[in-house]
Amino acid sequence: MISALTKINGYNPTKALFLKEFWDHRRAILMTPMVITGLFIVFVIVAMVTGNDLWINDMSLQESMRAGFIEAREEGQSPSFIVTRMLFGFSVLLWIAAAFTITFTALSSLHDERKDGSILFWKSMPVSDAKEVLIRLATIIFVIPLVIVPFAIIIELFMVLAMTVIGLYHGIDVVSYIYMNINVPVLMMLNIVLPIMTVLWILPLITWFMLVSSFSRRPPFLIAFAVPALIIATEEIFFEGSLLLEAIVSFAVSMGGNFGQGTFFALSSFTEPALYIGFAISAAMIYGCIYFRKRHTLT
Amino acid sequence: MTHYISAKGLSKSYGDFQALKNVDLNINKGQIVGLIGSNCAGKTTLINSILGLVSFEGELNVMGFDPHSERDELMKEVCFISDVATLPKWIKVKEVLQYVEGIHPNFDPEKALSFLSETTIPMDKNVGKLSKGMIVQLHLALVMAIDAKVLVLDEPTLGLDILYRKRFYDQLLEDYFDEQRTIIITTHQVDEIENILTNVIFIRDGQIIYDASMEETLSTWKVLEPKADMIEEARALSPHRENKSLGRVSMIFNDKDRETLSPFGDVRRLSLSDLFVTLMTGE
Repeated sequence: MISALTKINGYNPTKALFLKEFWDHRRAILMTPMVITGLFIVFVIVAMVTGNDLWINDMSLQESMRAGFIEAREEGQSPSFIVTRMLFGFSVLLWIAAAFTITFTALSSLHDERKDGSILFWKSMPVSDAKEVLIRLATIIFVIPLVIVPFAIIIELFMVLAMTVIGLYHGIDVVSYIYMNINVPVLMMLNIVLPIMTVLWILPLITWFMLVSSFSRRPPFLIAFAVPALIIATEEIFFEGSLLLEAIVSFAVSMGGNFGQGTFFALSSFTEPALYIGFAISAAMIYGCIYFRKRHTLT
Repeated sequence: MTHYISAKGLSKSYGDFQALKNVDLNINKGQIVGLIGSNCAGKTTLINSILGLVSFEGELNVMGFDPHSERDELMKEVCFISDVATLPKWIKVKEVLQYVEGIHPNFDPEKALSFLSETTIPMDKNVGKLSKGMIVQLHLALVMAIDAKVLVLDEPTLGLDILYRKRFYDQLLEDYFDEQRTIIITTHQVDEIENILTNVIFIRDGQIIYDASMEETLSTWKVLEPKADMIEEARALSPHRENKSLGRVSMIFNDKDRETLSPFGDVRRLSLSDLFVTLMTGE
């Protein structure tokens, strides 16, 4: 099935463009989660075999997990809620890495091709600038998170196995304490829907990175952060308060309010006007990307 | 369609600099056109306009399309290889074949593979690992496997040694060109392409100063090397230009036939590079 996905037979421009993006960023998109998953598993196995606990900030991992359990239970959470979310929590490293991948892929998306001259090769093919830009956006906001999902599932399955071994070793009834408490549909929703909703919320940021990458002659990373920082600083100095900063904070608050309990995996966001304002800003940024890509030949 | 490319009053400015000034141009099917000019003459701007890479003023029609607004459709009929349009270094040879197969409706992968089988290009390597010559061969193999009507080559052989350059043009003529296609070539190595051209265009300061078929060029322009005792008589025929080098006099004529000139000395045809120098430096 995977070879069918990665092989082209005949005219299929959309697939060709997606594959091209994947080949271009295969290290970030595929190798990074693969390595993280491998290291995580090795780390846990070593910890289990040597019987060592992990220490983070003077807190033992086992201790903090136990404390978390007790706290959640005191708050009246069901064991199923706790176990399922804990399993999801093990994949957090993958999502942190994905955040970096998304940032750097967006920042290089329309810049590298001008730097190495390949933009003229891409432009010698019958594809519109709009389609190129939109496929790059889709790669960043859908392909990167969705490639993470199977790795998240591998980590979660491995942790179930690890907990089974530890549970059996301590004579715990793993079926009723662990297996019965894993809510598979909820876990899958967490794995797939939460990242996608996060990406949709931060779309203005992602498309801002792409826009900078489409016009900047200098390293986009610098411009992407320096420009807003400069605007905020100027506003603070001359107007004693920054509208841009306020807008970003209030947007972040709206976003935060739609993650957590009772938000149906952040799907409640779709009733939030801020999300649609974000979409509108993103659309304007993407329009800018297409405009600049059409004009550019080389840097 | 008689004209594959036709331009009328084509202009392009960058700020105060006018790169193209009211260019009128027709290029027909079955032609191999040499577009020749010195640096900054407007060659690349003209080519970029034809390829839809820059906006322009005036009328320009390429294969029935407005290049700037319909570049994606146009590129089904037009291919280009440019010294600066390099294949990306990170892509593998087999991947770029796959990509073009997916993206171009008129690409024949079998054909590309058969061109590549005559080379030593490894399919599993990244483009960045290939030599400059191999990259050009790969690009040419891709382009020749595309059934397009117009091929634009902008300094395609820059940085290649003479064997590669010769092979490049031989292959282009033998395996690609036919009377349904048109090729436009810009290069500084004018002498290398002289014998494959059907037409030649000289461009200077954004204007076309010469546009003719090679046949016409060869029959019009001649060099006379007069015998020592006949220089004055030859001069009386009012040559377009007179050159002296190493004590020998040569005269360039553009309105006399061979029969008129041959009594005065050796008559030979004017090479394209000499014609270029004559027109660029003369009035």
